[in-house]
Amino acid sequence: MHNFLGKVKKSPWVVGQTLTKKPRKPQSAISDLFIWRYNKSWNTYFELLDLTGLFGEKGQHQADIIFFNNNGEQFHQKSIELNGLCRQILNISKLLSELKKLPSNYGTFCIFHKEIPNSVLKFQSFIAERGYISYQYKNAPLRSYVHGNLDAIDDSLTLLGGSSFFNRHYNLQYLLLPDKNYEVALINASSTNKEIKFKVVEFDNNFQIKEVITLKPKQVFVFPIQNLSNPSRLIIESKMIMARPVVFCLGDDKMDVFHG
Amino acid sequence: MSYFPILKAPYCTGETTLYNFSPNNWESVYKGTQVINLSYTDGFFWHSMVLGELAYGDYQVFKYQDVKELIPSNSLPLLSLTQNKLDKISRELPELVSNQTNVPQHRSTLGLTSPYTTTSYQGELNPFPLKSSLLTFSPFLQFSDKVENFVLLLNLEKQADSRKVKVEIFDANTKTLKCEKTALSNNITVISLDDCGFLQHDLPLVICREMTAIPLYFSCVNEGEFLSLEHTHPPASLVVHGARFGAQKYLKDYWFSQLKKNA
Repeated sequence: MHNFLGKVKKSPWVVGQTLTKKPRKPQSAISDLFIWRYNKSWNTYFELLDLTGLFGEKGQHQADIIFFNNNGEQFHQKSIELNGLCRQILNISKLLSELKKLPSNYGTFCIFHKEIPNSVLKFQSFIAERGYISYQYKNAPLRSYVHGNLDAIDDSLTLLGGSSFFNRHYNLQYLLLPDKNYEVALINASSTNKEIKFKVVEFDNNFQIKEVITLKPKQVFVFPIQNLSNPSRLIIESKMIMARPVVFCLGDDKMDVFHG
Repeated sequence: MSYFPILKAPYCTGETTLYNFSPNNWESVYKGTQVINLSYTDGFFWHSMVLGELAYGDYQVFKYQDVKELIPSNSLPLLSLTQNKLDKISRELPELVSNQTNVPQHRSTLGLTSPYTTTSYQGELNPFPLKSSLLTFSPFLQFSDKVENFVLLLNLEKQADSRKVKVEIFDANTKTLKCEKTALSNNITVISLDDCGFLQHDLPLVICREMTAIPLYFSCVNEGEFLSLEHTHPPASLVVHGARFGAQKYLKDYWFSQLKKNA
């Protein structure tokens, strides 16, 4: 009975509101929308694995990489020959530096593997690039890695992120400290504009910072948090089902990156 | 339902932050003070004790030094936040009556702190089945001057014993065995990857046929001046929708059979 009531109570939050939509075509490839950052303080790298090769399929495989600016507008696309089962580190900053003019100093990119393994089709699944990105901050001798966490887009550039009927809170379970600065990056992986409220609150619920923005589909926003007077936490309110951010924690010449 | 370990790694001490608030506003959770427990195994039994209470809406940071005197050296400290009190001694890992959410999961901050900096990820640890295996492709090695690279294998099982298992590390392309190590169940095993002879373009493949674990990749420069920490995805995460665990089984069967003759 208790279980039944729990399900009824939860139903307005789950019925007709999938976390990740299915692509229409069974042979589609899926990708995260990864955040690139490139300026004098930031360089971005990506570990490109031959996913089709990992499934035991022989031959030369390819992937397409598509870049978007911070407003979600596509500005560059490139096909890449994969190195089979060898490691292949894409220097995203170098790739972008070869363009005549960059539209912004951060944005997103996605990677679609072009050959779909037969075994993946057999399992009625979709191959998904949700791999490993690394950032170099202020020419540090070590890059910081974070994995993809969003099955955001398919190879027809249809966004797959679900939308909620009601506003949801994403309460980041992370302690924001006064002696650090933070940059919280959030992407709208849904197909409609979303109003987002960022709230930084102290543990006695005092507000420190509040910002309201509207994110267009594929748009990424970097929300800065600095000069906190007390330990705090972040609440992201929106109609996105999973408003999971990537958090950059900055202190002097050091940087740590993680996802929510 | 999850435990939250305190990690360890070279040049660093572990630090875990517990939160008694839900990661969302729509999955039903208990909104009251919860008990903070510390659990560990001595290799025969699970031992648990109460460290304190955490009010709803609050957080607490635990450093390894805070629990060091309470557990045997080299055992994995496991924190939990529960509505029930755990048995002081048990043969099986205590069941937790605690808040559980799915979108996203209830997490803590699992950090490593050196004298210079901190790195962390948002994580939790649930017991793995006894009969399980590990397959992870790990493109995280960094090759600059004074960089050291490690894989930290984090395992938890219901049984209290401490099994020693073989970990094989291959080059994915040539399928040659680069090195063999051992790992312990119910522990975090630190394995150096620098003595395996990997070059910049090699893709390391770490397997364990007898146990699974969360594979955390940890790199540092100058004995902790700079740190990086991240885990790889399980093989099921290479696909979305459909029979994802069928795809994972396919990948494991394929790679374990490919690597059998070289082991």
